[in-house]
Amino acid sequence: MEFWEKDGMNETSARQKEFEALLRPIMKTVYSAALHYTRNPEDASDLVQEATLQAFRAFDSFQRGTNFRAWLLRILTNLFLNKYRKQQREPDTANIEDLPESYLYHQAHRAGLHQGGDPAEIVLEKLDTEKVTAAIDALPEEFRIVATLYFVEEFSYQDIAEIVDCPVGTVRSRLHRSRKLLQKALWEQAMG
Amino acid sequence: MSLYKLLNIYTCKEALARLDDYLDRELSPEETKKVAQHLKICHACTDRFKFEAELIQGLRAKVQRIDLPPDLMENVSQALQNAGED
Repeated sequence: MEFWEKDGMNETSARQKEFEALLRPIMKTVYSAALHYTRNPEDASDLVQEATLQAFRAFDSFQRGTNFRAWLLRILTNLFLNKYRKQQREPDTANIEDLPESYLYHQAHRAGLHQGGDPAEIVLEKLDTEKVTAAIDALPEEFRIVATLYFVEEFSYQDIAEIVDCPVGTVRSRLHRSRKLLQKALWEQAMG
Repeated sequence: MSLYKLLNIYTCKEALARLDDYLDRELSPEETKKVAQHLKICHACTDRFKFEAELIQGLRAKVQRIDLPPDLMENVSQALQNAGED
């Protein structure tokens, strides 16, 4: 007798219970990722609902004990790229290479923030959740996706590479460039 | 030959080129050790590494504060139940 038979549960509801037990603790970060991808709360909710349904239908293919969050985020990311992305004019990124490394660090020092205390703390105090979100959401799509997986989900380069299905070197390069653009956007948000 | 090369320690340029990977723990053990050795003797680079580390930590704390729509989990749960009954 299976455990779900002993408890009077049927197999379907046991499967749903198992899936939801994995889903509930990470629901907030899954929604956060969807929100950064779509930049719209209604689309984000739709994306989450559709992705979780797709994941549930494919749950038999999920290897128990492996990283459920990465597995679900891969489904969510693919769904976003195949169905939810909208053709929007992307910001010009031609000048990324001209941006110096550690842009914020240099700007903060140029503005004399290091004289007033901890410059990182001073910059962060000028940035609330809305401003940081706006800066991430202003990134071109391919950078916004890796930045979301890095900042919001705190995935490793390897995990990000598996989620977006590209080499680790590409992830490293995109993340490096997205951080440059992000730092410029954050400085503008902080000083704006 | 520079002092750094003499002591087989990274120069500032070499350490800073690895800043992102060091903070993300993506370097090999050998490279990690060499960056750490450089930071022990270079105040300027330590300052910059510390700034970047604090920035990443602070930004993460801020972006992870997004609120979940109140009915989303319930809607998902209902959709899963409907799917299970199909």
